[in-house]
Amino acid sequence: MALDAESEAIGTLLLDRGILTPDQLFAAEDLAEDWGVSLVKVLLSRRWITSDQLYEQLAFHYDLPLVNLMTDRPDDALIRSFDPRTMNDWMTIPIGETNGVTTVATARPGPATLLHVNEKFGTNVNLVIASHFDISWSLQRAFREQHSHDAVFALAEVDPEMSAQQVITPPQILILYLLVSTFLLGIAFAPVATLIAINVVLTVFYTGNFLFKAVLVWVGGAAQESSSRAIAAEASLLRDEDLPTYTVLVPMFREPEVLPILTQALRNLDYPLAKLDIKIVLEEGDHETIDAARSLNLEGVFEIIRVPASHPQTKPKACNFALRYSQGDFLVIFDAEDKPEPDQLKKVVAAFNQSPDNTACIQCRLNYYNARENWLTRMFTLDYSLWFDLMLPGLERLKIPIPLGGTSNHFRMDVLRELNAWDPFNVTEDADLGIRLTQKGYRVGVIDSTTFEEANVSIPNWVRQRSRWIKGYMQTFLVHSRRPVHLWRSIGPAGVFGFIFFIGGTFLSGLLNPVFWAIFAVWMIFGEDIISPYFPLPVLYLSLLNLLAGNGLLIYLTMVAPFRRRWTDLAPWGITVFGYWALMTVASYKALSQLVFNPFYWEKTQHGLSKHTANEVAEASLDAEEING
Amino acid sequence: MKNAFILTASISVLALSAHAQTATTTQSTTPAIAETSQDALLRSTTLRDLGYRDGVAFSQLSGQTEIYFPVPDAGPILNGQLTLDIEHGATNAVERFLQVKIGDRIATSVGLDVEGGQLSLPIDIRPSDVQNGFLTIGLSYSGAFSEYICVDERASGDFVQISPDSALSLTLDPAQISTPLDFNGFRPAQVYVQMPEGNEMSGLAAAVRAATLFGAEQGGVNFGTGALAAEGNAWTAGAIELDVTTSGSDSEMEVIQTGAQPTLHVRGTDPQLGLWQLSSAWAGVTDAANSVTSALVSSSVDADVVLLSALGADLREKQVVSSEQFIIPFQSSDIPAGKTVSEIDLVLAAGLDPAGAGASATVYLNDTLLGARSLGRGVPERVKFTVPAGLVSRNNVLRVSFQRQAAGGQCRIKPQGYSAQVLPGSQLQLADTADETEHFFQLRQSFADGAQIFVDPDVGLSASELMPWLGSVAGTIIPDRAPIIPRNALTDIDADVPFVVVSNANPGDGEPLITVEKGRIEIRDRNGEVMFDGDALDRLGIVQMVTRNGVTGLWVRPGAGDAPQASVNTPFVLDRGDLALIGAEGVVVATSTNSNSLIDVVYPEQTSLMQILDQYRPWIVGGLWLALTLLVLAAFQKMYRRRRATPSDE
Repeated sequence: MALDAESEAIGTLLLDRGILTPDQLFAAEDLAEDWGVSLVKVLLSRRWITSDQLYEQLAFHYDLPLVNLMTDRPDDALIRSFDPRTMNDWMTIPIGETNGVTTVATARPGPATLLHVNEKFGTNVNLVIASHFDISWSLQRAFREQHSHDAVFALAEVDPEMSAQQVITPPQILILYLLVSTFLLGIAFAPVATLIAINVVLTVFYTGNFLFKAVLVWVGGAAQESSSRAIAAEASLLRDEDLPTYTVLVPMFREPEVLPILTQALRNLDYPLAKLDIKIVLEEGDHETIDAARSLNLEGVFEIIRVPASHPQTKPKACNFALRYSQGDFLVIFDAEDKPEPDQLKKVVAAFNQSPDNTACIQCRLNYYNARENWLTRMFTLDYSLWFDLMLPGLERLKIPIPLGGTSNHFRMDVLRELNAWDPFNVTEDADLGIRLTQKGYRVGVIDSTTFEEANVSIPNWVRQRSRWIKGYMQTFLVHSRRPVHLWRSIGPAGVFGFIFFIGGTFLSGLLNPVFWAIFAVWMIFGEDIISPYFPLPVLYLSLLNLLAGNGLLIYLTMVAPFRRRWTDLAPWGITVFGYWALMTVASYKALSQLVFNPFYWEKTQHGLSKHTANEVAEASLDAEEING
Repeated sequence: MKNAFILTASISVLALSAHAQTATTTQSTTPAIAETSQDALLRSTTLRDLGYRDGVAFSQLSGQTEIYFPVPDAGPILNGQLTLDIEHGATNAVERFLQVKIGDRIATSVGLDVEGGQLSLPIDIRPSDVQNGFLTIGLSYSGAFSEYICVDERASGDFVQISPDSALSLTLDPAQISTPLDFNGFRPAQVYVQMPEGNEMSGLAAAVRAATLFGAEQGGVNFGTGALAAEGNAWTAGAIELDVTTSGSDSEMEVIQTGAQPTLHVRGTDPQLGLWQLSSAWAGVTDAANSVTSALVSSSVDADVVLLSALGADLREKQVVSSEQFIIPFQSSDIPAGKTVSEIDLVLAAGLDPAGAGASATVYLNDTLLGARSLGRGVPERVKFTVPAGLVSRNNVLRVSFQRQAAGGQCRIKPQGYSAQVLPGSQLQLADTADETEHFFQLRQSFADGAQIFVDPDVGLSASELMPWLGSVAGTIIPDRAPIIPRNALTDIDADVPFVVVSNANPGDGEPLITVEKGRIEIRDRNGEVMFDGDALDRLGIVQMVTRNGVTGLWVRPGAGDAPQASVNTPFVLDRGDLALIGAEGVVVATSTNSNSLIDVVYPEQTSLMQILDQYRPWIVGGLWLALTLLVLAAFQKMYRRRRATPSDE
């Protein structure tokens, strides 16, 4: 697309004033033409000129005053009388009113903005220039209370049935109470028969669990191949000028050291940097990380969103807050240590183009760049490979609700806002959102594009992380089983069974495994006589099937999981997966305890412990310096 | 020797082509039993004593059998008489006859009235009738229709029943019973063991050996310390006097005359040796006034097979008209320790009829069908059948049934029988058993090579007072051939020979189901109802299998009540299970404590957690439910308060 006249004029001005070199200008103009954006946006995505310098020159060009909204604070009440999203989208806010004349600050001067200002603020206005950072910060300050409240309570107020703010509902308590009462009655008067009945139920559950996973892997195996090729082909043909604006949320908390990895990974994306709306979402009290982010001297496309302190202090709440200031048509969340594949965003756009209209989210695969650091990272890699590479495609194929996974979830912005985004009370807000999307009639797709991140190298750290996930699954299960009939009608029987086995099965198996391991140990040590009263022959045979075939199958699947990535050296480690399952049990009980006593507590995972991460940080910093230089 | 008194339970009946006999009842012209001197001994042996619990029966107008009364020597016989108590009947006018042979001579032949009835048939016995240590009585029954031309004899409706109380009465000169061999051959089935006054373990060991040899588990042995008082001339119990010495020979036996009846006096440092000799293959050398024994070498036992011929079963050929059975009983003690029967290996032969048809043989073990084979070649054939695991128990019966399609009829040809036999090469194949010794019958096998025995003085019973309890147990659990090894202290028990310990305290390493150290005991059934406790339990004896130093043995705690009163009709048997409560009526309850125990043992004075939980389970569960309900109510209350505190959005 040819450069617009405004961009040409601004470019000439910058060149004449010696702020840009000719090479820089030519490069910027080329990018502007290729990307289909203005020169200003290109310059904001580069570090040839500071944003202060750029806005100063813009003010000169448009012969408008430049205002520093940090020192000349605008009238918050005046700002609050207008729609925040509109002001955010146009980067235009009223900052004061005197004698009937409204002073309006904008970061995007131009004819279109002028028309918008006249429409929204009237003709009696004084227009001034302010940097987009100042405008965004003014919006955050003015709407701090409202947006903070909305970030926490929007979903709970609009759709309380879908919120985990209430951990468990009275009908659920009643049902649990009746179940436990029935169990106690049986124990009192027919203990052996009761235990046999429970044994039968649990044994059948285990059988269903492993059969379900086997079916998932079998069904999903071939599904991905053809669709992956089609998506990759379209992605390669997409033109930069046709690409939409993409919001990237990077929520962080007290982990300044790993930010350079993601910032460099974003720069390395095969996507116009000027079309990335990158929000680094930080708690306003996390000065360490805020200072570290500032010190990186990031491009103008990177913006720091400071989330006001409130309870619960969770990642989804922070993302909900940052969503209010997002401008993209699509949104993705990355963690600070993530390294997405360069073509991921284009593949997502292509996937949305090829998917049905009700596709609201595309889930990419996750894996680890420090897979071979120790036993735990190997197990984690096998775990994720099995889940993302083998099982998620099966879920998609069978139209079973997909619990989203942590990062690299790409959303349609309109749907995200419609559903009130994430549940701040759910510590696995991504899994919950995946189920909620499906219940609302939307669809989640899965594509073959991987984001690499840091696998936990420390077992205590892993237990903390996994306990949060399992607690979140418990919350998700409680929330979405509140209305079982509605669930059945909205996602169908296959979806319900998938929901029970995938969500429920994950935490139930972790809680029940030690019981059955203990029974197995008793059987091995003392012989069958001691357990035979509780294991009638059919139950005994089914249990043996679970023990041998079920565990054997799961071990086999764990071993073959990395084959898609040709990481065959990891396969033999699958035999030690029993140790991993034991850790899962520890995490499950910790999760259960927290669900009861501290349901909304976010167990923070410490990142940057891997020596690979340190290498990645150094590498990213070096690359950034090269770009600067 | 004991086995010699126990014959097979079922009677084989041969069908012969019998000729009609004229109805001549020949009465013996031998005068009645001669008057005996007052010193003569009357010894009566009934068919029941020989193992014919139901007597002898014939039907279908034919039948033949031989009964062997053991009479080792004709010398002491002054005279004798066989009395057959007969009941007979018929539904048609049939001429029927019963012929009795004594040895080779026909002693009498009686015609039986067509109306039926009862009669007592006395037959005098001569000393010359005794041959090869037996008095052989041959019974032959025959009959023929005279008015009807064509009747199926298999449905003739006739019978002859010889009562089990039919007896051979011998008048004996006690002075002629002068050798241990004669004593053992003539003595009654009932034995009285006169034990030494003291409590020497070797005396106890000999008494226990006597219990095993002479059938104490069927009430065949009484014990005491005084001499047996004779009741008239009837010799009803054979008295054996044990005399323990501390030096001299191991065993010295002689017959002494105590009053009118002979007594076998066994003296030595190990009197049981002589008792065993009388029951062993070496009995024949005790045919002397004084028999001194130092050692007995038993034949080695093949660990891989047990020949059917060694089991003492009747393997003589039989004539099979339609069906005949060979019954081979054997006990677990006939099998070496650590072994079980894995296969039945039979050599069978069945003669062919003129049409060339043979017979079919069906093999059962403990009434479980192992297999069948058609024998159509007329020559011996070897057949093998696998024995399922767990089928063998204490008393086992191998039954081979021969069947053939009877040829004959047309009112002209009487059905003809053809020979069939289980040949002596038949055997039980043995294999190692993987099972632990978990049942009494398996323990009986373990005792085959010997049993250590120890009596704790704390029991407070003399040896003679103890024997009524210990005798029944020993009789059922210890095989005949097992030497009894006395021990003077619990610590003397070897680690490689099974044991029987009589004590109040547990002699084993582990904790058996019933232990007396925990105070009051309650025995409950599966429904929790109390079966025995307190005095009722104290009156009962307790027999449990325990393990000490890796060896399994038996712990016997005698009861305060009456000892088991065993008899032939109500034998005292410990078969399956490892725990038994015993009393006057015998085994009150026997159960396995390893699985599905029939009883539950509770120690009310012990406050174990499991007992409390079990006893108060409904209350505990009720308390938990109450706590749960309160918790749920508190949760609802909290929710309600929270809801009221939240301002409405209106």
